[in-house]
Amino acid sequence: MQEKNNGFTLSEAGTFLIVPLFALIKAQNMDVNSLQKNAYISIREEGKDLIRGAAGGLIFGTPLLFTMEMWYHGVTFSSGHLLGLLALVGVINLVFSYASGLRAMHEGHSLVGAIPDMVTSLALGLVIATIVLALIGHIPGDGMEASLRKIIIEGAVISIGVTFTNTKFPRQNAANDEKSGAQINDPLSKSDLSLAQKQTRDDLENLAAVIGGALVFTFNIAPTEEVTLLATTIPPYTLLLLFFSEIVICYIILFAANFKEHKIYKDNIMQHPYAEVAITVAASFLVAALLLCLVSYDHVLASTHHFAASVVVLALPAVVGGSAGRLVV
Amino acid sequence: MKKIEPCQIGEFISLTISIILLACVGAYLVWNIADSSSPYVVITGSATQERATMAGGRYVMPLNVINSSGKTVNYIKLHIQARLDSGLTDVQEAEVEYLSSRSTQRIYVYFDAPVSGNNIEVTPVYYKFN
Repeated sequence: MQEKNNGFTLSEAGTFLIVPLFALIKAQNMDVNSLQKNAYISIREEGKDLIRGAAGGLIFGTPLLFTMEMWYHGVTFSSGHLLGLLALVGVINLVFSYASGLRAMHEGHSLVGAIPDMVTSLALGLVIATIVLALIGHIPGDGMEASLRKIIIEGAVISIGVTFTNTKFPRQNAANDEKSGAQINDPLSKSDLSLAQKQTRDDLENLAAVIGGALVFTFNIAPTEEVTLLATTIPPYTLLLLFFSEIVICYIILFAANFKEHKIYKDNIMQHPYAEVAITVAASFLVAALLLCLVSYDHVLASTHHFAASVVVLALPAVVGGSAGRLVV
Repeated sequence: MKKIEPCQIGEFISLTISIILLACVGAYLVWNIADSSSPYVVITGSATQERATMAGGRYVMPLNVINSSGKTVNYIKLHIQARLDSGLTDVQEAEVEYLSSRSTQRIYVYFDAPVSGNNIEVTPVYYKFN
C-alpha cells in the first residue's frame, strides 16, 4: 500500500488546509512536488472510491427512488421519525463499514475507525438522492423543506447500498486473487474456439446479462403509476438531461467504478468502452419500451410523446439494472 | 502511544464535507421537532393572475395554495367561490393531496365564464394532520 505510506495524518491534513503552503513545506520538510503529488493521488483515489460507492448506491436504491410512497412519506413523516430512520440506517452503515469498509483499500479498522466511513456513506447517499430526485423532477417540486425531507428518506436507504459496495462488488485490483482463480475456471478461455468465436459468445453473454438485469429492475416498476406520473410532470429539458445522465450512469457502473475486468478475446471497435456503453444503454431502452408495451397502463401508449417520455423515465432503472447485470456475469 | 491511523487528504476533504452536510440535516430535523408540536395550521389561497385564460371554450384560473406554517398537512379541501363578470356566482371545490411546510402548490380551476382574480375567494374547509 504505497499510497497509504505517503498519506497524511488527520492533524497534518488539517494543517494543510489552514496554514499557508510555504509554512507547511518548511515545517514538514517536504518539497512542493511531492506534496502536490501526494494530495493529487489521495484525491484521485478518494474520487474513485466515491464513484464506486455511488454506483453501488444507485444499484441498491434505484427501485426505491421510483416508489411514490417513499416521496410522500418523506414529506409527511414527522421530523422525529426521519431522525430515527437516519439513526437506524447509521447503525446499519456502521456495521457494514466495520465489516467491509467503504473504500477499496480497506484493511480493517476498529468500530470507532468505521465511523468516518459511516458518515461519508450517509452523506454520499444524500447527494445521490438529490441528483436522482432532481433528474426525475421531484425536487425542488413543492418547496425546499419538502425536497429536503424526500432527500433524507431516499438518501438514508441509498447509503446502505453505498457501504454495501465493497461486500458485493470488490474493486478489480482488490479482488485479483479471486479473479485469477475464476479465470482458470473460465470455460471459454479453455475452449477450442477461435478468438473471434470466443469474443462473439462473450458479447452475447453480456447482452443477455444486460437484458436480464434490465428486466429484473424494471418489471415491477413498468406497471406502476409512478412511470406515468413522472413522464407527465418532467419538463422536456429535464427529460433530455435524464437521458444523458443515463448514459453517464452506465459508463460509471461499467467502467469508471472499476468493478470488473473486461475480458477481450479479440480487440475490435465493439470492445471500446463507448461502444459497450452505447450497446448497454440501447438494450436497456429496448427492454423499457417493450415492457411499457406489454405491462403498463393503456394510456401510456395513447400518445407518442407520453410513450417516449415514459421510456426515458423507465430507462433509468433499466440502465442501472442492465449495467449491474453485466457485473454479475 | 497508539499510532494515529493515517488519513489521506482526499478522505479528509470528503469527511469534512460529509460532517457539515449531516450536521445541517440533523440540525434541521431537531429544530423541526421543537417547532412542530401544534396541529393548528393556516392555509391561504389566492389567484395568481388578473384574468382567467381561455382554454377549450372555458376559462382557467391558476390559484396558489399556501401553507406558511412549519407543519405538513394532508388532504386539504378547498372551497372556491368566484363572482363571474356576468354577475353570477360560480362555486368549485378542490382537494390538494398534501401541502408541505412553508410551501406553495398551484392548482388550475375551470370556470364557465370570464372571471377576474380579484373576485375569487379561496376558503380551506379541512385538512388532515399526521
